[in-house]
Amino acid sequence: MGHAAIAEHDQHHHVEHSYTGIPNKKVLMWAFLASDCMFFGTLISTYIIYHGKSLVGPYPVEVLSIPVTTASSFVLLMSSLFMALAVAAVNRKDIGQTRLWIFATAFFGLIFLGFQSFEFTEFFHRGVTLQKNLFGSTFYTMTGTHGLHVAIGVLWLFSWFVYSYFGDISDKAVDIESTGLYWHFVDIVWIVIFTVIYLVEFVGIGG
Amino acid sequence: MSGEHHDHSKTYWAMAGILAVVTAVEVAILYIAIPDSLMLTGLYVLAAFKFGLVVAYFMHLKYDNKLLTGIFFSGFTIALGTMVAMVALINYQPTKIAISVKDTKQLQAMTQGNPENGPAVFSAKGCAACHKISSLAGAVGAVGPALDGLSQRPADKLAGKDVTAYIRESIENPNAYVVEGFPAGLMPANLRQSMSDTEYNDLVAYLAKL
Repeated sequence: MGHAAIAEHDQHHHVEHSYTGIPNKKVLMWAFLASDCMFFGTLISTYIIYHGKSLVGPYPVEVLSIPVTTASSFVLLMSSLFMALAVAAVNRKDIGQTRLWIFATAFFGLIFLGFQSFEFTEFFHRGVTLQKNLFGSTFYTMTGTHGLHVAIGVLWLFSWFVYSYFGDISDKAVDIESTGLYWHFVDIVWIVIFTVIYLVEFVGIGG
Repeated sequence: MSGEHHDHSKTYWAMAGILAVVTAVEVAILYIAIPDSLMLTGLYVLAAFKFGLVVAYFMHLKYDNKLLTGIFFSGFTIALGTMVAMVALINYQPTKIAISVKDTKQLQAMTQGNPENGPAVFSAKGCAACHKISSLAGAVGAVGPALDGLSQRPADKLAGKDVTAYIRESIENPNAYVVEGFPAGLMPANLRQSMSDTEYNDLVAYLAKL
């Protein structure tokens, strides 16, 4: 697509493109996600560095639950599918499908948060608190920050869902795609956390 | 800009199926009897694969302008590099000496035995066959000197050493000082080698209290 075509395209869509031809909002979101990589990188490496250095229990191997986390990971992965379908639908200008998949994404995000609330409550009853030991401090800080990202994503998605009844959402393809990028990023961070914090903990223990 | 208006919905469903299967495989790997290193490698490779799928398809980088890939992975590379460096360096010690330096308490704990375990070592290593200790059943030998009141012996008999040093010398090198009236070369010279550090320290601590 040449510059003239982009200009014509823009007149219909009211989207600001950078001189690279990429919508500014997308570049902004990718730049933010690049920085968020570093944010989560520090939190995850802090967990790894202090792993095995807690002076008192409970220790991660005693409380982490693979079945529960596998279920919540699956939910988050599927929410990513729904998000991708929502972006595909808004690009087709299919308002009904866009609305449906945005709602499904947000709903699965809520289920994931439900799993996390269950996990945190369970851990708390078993003595894992933010101040208890290094495991508690690093675990809650990391997964809590991730949970906060999910919660912000859920609010953002629900606001699009509400918007779809009042405004022309088919005109917001780039905005919804940006929300989608944010949502998928939250998913890939969880892919890393699921492996590094949960699965690796049980290597060498045997079934 | 190619692909912006292509509909990839079918691809997305397929990718979600693959992601679900890979996640199941990740969990299943934990229950397979394979070496830990292989298991870890498998888990990290599968996680990277899932990460790649989501970024390439769901996040559209496969179809989008490569500049976006560049922006994201420059941040990602810095993050990953920082993580690897932090994890690798956090326990780094510049020299081996720095690791082996111990404070006074640790050194004492290393050399101070538990006298209560001494009698068992004394009997197990056959000392009782030659040395008499009145308070220890079975220690009735008369080939070597009796060890009763070892710590109470006058300084001249200990050859000018404190009692612990004297006991250590007599076990590690029995012929360095032989008590008058007993033959040299009779006590086995490899006793120290026959016991662990803990056993040896326990034995010395016990004898020094006699």
